[in-house]
Amino acid sequence: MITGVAIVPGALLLLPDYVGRVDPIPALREAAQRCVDDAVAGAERIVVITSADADPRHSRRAAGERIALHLLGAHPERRPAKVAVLPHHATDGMVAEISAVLGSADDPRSPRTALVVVADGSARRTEKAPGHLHPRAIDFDDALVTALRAVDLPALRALDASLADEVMAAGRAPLQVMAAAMGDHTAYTCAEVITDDSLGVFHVAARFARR
Amino acid sequence: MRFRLGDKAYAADARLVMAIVNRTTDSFYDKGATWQDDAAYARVAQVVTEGADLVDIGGIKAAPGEEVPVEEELRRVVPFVEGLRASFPDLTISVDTYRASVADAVLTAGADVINDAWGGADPEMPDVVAQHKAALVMTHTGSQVVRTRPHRVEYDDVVRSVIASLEWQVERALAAGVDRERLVIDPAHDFGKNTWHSLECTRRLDELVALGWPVLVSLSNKDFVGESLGREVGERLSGTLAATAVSAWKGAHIYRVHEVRETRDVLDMVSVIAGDLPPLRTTRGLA
Repeated sequence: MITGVAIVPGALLLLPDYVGRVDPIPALREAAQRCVDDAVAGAERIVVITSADADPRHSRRAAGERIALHLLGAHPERRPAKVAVLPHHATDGMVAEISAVLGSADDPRSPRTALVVVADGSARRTEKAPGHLHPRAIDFDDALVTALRAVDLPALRALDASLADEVMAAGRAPLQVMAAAMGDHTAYTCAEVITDDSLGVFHVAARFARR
Repeated sequence: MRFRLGDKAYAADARLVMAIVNRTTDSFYDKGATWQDDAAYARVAQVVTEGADLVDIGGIKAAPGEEVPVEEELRRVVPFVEGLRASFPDLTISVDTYRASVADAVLTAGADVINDAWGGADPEMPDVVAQHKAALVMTHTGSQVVRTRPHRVEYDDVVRSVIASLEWQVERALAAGVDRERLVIDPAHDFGKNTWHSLECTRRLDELVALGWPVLVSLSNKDFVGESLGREVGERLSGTLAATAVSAWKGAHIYRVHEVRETRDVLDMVSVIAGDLPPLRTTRGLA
């Protein structure tokens, strides 16, 4: 049974190695950590859902996996039982397949499970954004945050893959898998949603709690 | 290697800015800009804001010029040091003097460092510095007489001469009881040196760093920069900063300068490139 869900950004800046002397996103970092800490409190099992890097040029684990593991920390009790790294451009079929594997997570007989989902909105909100300005980026992000605040799982499952790719939203597939795993949306409440687009990417730190 | 100035301790990768504050009417670069008290205090406040780690107060211009008796040098620097100590209690204060009697007075007034810029000309200097448990900057002048310019000076190997002189001064200071963590060495560009000598000292600065003592370099707007580039005083900042960057890469620790903000940026940039300091704020490609 899923007891808590944390959604955290996939920004490399969440990894300590990339932070200079001044942290450019202190509030977001704090919110992401808080969401993870609260979501996994009391969980017997932790599952990380993330996607592969869009353009990997290295041999490390996917950035999302490293970010999730960093936020979970080194404590053995917070070691994830499963890390699902979806292809960056996962098709609906792939999403369904992975969702099926995780599908039992909302079974009341399954262990108390926390999901840590690494996902972002668009990266094309401004001319200075990583992907430069896209006219539909803000609409995509608005729809995403509305769905998160409402725990609108059908809307999250129905995220437009093509548009998500176009606006460089990295977390579409992980959010769809998460939504599928959570099952009945009425069982959850949205405890927190923090957003930050100061760096041209729509970063979200959010937490769903069991009612 | 660790060293101490005042109540602060520094590691081998430190790159410190020592801001020049002259209490003179005739120094070659600022030409009396901080002769008046108000201007001098304002200069200190400014350089602290710009990132200076310490200030170096001088009461006598280095080059030949007006004779400044001991009493006049004392009048120029001692009350100022007292005032600075009261106004900037955490600031490390150095005084540039070759006179042990002046050193005694300024250390009593609250200074932390004596910058003995004329190569230990006064043999009592180490004893005075030791008595006050202060720091001592030792310099190479090639036995040049105080406040004179080099004239037809040659060395078999200028860097060997620098090392020999500084090692001798270090031994003398240690014998006098100066704390070994409060000894600083300076090749003293332009002092007893022509431009070729100063350039070689810069090029081979790593040989001085290898001695294991903190190295101070005083490069700011000097003639070796001007002659290298064909630039008059007032046009030497770029050359000074280039020499600063090279010295920093070769491991010097303290930079005695007129332009603090620019020097701070150069030193921080070198520290960042060297991996001794993280960059200030990184977001490019990381959001």
